[in-house]
Amino acid sequence: MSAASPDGGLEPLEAVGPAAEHCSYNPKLCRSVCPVAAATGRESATPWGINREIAAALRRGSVTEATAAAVYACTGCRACALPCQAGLDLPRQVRPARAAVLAAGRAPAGLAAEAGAAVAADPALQAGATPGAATVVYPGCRSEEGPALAALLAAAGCAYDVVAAATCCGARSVDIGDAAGGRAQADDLAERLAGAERVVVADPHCARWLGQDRGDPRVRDAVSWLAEQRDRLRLRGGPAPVLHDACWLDRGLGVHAAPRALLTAAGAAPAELAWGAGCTGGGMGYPAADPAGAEAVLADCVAALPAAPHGVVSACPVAVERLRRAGLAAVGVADWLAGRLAAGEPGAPSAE
Amino acid sequence: MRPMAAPMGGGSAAQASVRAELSELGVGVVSTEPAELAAHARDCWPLLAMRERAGEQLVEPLAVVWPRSVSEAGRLYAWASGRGVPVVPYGGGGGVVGGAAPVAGCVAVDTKLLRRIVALDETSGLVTAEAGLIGQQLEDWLAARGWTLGHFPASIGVSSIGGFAAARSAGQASTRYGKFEDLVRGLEAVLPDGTPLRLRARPASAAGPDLAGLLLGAEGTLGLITAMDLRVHPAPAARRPYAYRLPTFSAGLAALREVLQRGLRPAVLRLSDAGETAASHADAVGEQGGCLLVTVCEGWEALAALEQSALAERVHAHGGDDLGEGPAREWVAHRYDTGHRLADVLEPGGVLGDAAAVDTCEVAAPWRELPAVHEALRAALAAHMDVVLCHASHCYPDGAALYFTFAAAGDGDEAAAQQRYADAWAAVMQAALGAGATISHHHGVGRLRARWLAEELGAGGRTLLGQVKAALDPAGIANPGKLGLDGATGDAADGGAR
Repeated sequence: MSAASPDGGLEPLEAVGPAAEHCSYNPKLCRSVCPVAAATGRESATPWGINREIAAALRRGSVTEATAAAVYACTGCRACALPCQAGLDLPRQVRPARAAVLAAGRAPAGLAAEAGAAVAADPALQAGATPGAATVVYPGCRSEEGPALAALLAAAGCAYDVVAAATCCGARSVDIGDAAGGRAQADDLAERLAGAERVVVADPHCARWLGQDRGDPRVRDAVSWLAEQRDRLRLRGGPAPVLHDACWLDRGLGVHAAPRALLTAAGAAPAELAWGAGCTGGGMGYPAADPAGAEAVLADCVAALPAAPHGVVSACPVAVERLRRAGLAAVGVADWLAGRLAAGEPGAPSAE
Repeated sequence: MRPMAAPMGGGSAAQASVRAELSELGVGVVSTEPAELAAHARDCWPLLAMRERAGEQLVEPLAVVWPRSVSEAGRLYAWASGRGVPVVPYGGGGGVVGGAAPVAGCVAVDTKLLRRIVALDETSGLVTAEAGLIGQQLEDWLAARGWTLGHFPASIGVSSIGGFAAARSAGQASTRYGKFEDLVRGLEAVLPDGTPLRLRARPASAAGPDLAGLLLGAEGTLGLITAMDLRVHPAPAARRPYAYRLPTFSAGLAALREVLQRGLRPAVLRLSDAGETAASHADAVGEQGGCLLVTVCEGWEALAALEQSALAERVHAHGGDDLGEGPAREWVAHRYDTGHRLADVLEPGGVLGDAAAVDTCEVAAPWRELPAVHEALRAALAAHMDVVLCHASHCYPDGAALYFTFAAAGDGDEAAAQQRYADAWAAVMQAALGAGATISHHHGVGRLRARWLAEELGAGGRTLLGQVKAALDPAGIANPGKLGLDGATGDAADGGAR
C-alpha cells in the first residue's frame, strides 16, 4: 500500500464532497436497509453518518480517527441505493475518503490482508484455454470456480483464453483506499487483455470495477454471459437452492434476472430474499476495520436466509466463503451449474 | 445481535472514566468513539442542522450506550439515577423537534441493539418487538407474513418503533389504522431509577389508569420503552387510490368530516389547501385550480370498493370533481419524499439559497375550529416565511390534523435565518393555542415546543405532569430539557441545545 503522507491531503475527497454534504442534510431514510447500521447499531455507520463525516473532514481540513471509523464501516453492498433519492453510490463516496485516511496514516490495522492478491488462472482453466481466443475468462483473485468454469465452457463449446500470469484487477486495493496501487494493478491487467474482444469476469466485484468504474466495454460478468449460453448446456433438473443475490452483481451491476434464469434452466426456481438482505459483511475491507461488526452482519444474513436444505447459491466468492464458514452449504453459481451438467457433458461431475 | 461488549473509543479523561465504569456495570455496548459521539449530536430537527451549517459546534454526549436487554437498560438507568448523569434516549434519530438532542454531560442510550421481533400472535393480531427496531424493518417482516402494522410515517425508513411510541407518531394511513399509541397494546420499559416495568397486552381494560399512556408521548422523560406489543392487521387485499379536485379548502374539510362521521375509515385522506395545490400539484388539478384531495381505500376488496363509492358520493356532494387514480398513485409513489425536499432547502447553496430556513408544523383541532385554525396559522407563518404549504390529513370523527410546510429563502445570513425560524415558530405556536388547536399532532414537543407545553396543558395539567415527573425521576436524569419539565424553555430561538 501507499506510504502515509505527512499532511494527509484531502484532494481525493473533494470530488465527493458535494454529495457528502447533501447526504448529511438528508434524514437517513436508507438506515433500515443498511446491514452494518442494523447489525452494530452504530449511527456513524449509516450512509448518513459516513457522508456527514466526509463533509466534516472537508470543513475542518483534516481526516481524524472519526473519519477512519466512519468511512471503513461500509461493505459496499449498495442496499442504500434503493431508498436514496439523491442517487448516491456509497462505494464511490468511501473509496476516495479511504484514500485520504490511508494517506494520513489513519487506516485500520490489518487492512493489507484485505487488498487484492495477484493470482494466476486456475490450472483447469489454463488446460482448456485456446491461446488467442477472442473471449478471455478472468476469474478474479477470490474465485475458486476455475474448474467449474472450464467444465461449463467446454460443455457450451466456447473457445476461450486466460491470463496466465499472476494478476489482480485492483478493485480490492481501491476499496481499501490504495487508489494508486489499485490503478497500477488494473493498468497491468488491461495491458494483458489488450487483444481480447470480450472479457468474461467471474467475480462480479471485479466485473463492476473493470466494466463500469474503469469503463471497459468488453467486460461481461460471468453470470450474465453463462445465462446467454444456457441453451447450449444440457442441465439436469433437481431441488431448488436458495439464491443469494451477490451485492456487486445485483445492485452493483443491476444483474437480477440472469442468475434466476440459470437456476430455472436447471429446473430450480430459487427462493427469494428481501432487498439488501444478503450482505455477509465481507466486502470492501470491512472485516479488517470492524471484525466483530462483520461477524454480526454475517449472523444477520444467515438469520434472514430461508431454510436451505439444498444449499445456497451465490455469485459472490466472498459470500460463499463466509456462508460456508457459518455452516451453510454454499456454492458459487458456476460450481452449482457445473454440478447440474447432464451426464456425458464434458467435465460433468459423476454424481451430485 | 452484535457479540461485542468491549468498550470502544478514546477521548477525554471524563469519557474514559465513564466508559470504564459503564463497561464494568454491564450495561451493553459502550462507546466514546468520536464518530459515534458526533453522530449522536443531533436528530432531524432542522434547527440543529442549521446550527451545524452555520459552523456551530453541537453538544455531544459523553458516551453512547447500546443496551441489549431490559436488564442492561435497567442497570444503566439505576447508575445514572444514582450518579445524577442525564440519559438521553436515541432511536433512529428521525425526530424533528430535538427530542433526542443531547445535553452537556449526558449519556446517549441508543436503543438500536434492542431489535428482536419476539413473537407474532396471528390469532390475536399482535406482534411483540423490541423498541430499537426500525419501522420499515418491522413492516417488511410483517409484510412477508401477510400482516401490516399500518404505520407509514415519512420517517419509516429511519425511525425506531420506540421513537414512534415516545413521540406518539402518526403514519399516513392513520385515519384507518390509528396513531401509534392506538397500536400499542402492551409495553416493557425501564423507569428512571432502573425499575423494570411490564404491562402486558390487553385489548381493553378498566383495571385502573392507563399506565402505558404515561410513557407514550413522554419522549423518554419518564423512562425508556424497551419493547412493545403492537396491534397488527392482515395486509390489505385491495388498495384503491383515487383523487379529486375540491373547489375550496372549506368544502373539502366539510366532505372529510362527513366521510368520517358516517363511519368510513379510508387509509388516506389528504386535502391540500389552494396554496399547496398550486405550488405542488398544479398539474393534477389543471387550470381550474382548487384543492387536491388524495384518497386511498384499502382492505377487503368488497369493503374497499364500497368505501370508495361512499366516499366519492360525499366528495361530489361538496362540489368535488373526479381526477382519477393518477394523482393519487403519484402521491403514493412519492409519499416519503418530504425529508429529501427539506434537505434540498437546508443544504448550503440549496434551492432557496444559502442559509435558508425550513421546517414543518403539525397541529390538530376539532372540525368546528379547523377552518379558523387553518387561516390563523397560515397567516402567522406567512408573516415570517416565504413559502407556506398546508394540507389536512389524519382525520377523525371529531377533527383532523393540519400539516404546514414552511421555508424562508436565504441570503447567506445564518443568524437572520435562525431568527426568522424562531419568529415563525413563536407566531405559529401562539396562533395554534389562540385558535384552539393542540400544538402538536404527531411530531412531539422535544426542545422545539417545550416553552408552549405549559399553556397547552393548562395549570392543572402542568402540575400533574410535573408531579409525575418528580415522583418517577427525582434525580431529573431522564431526557432533561424536553417537554419543559425541568424548567428549561429550550425553543426555536435558543434551544438549549448549544
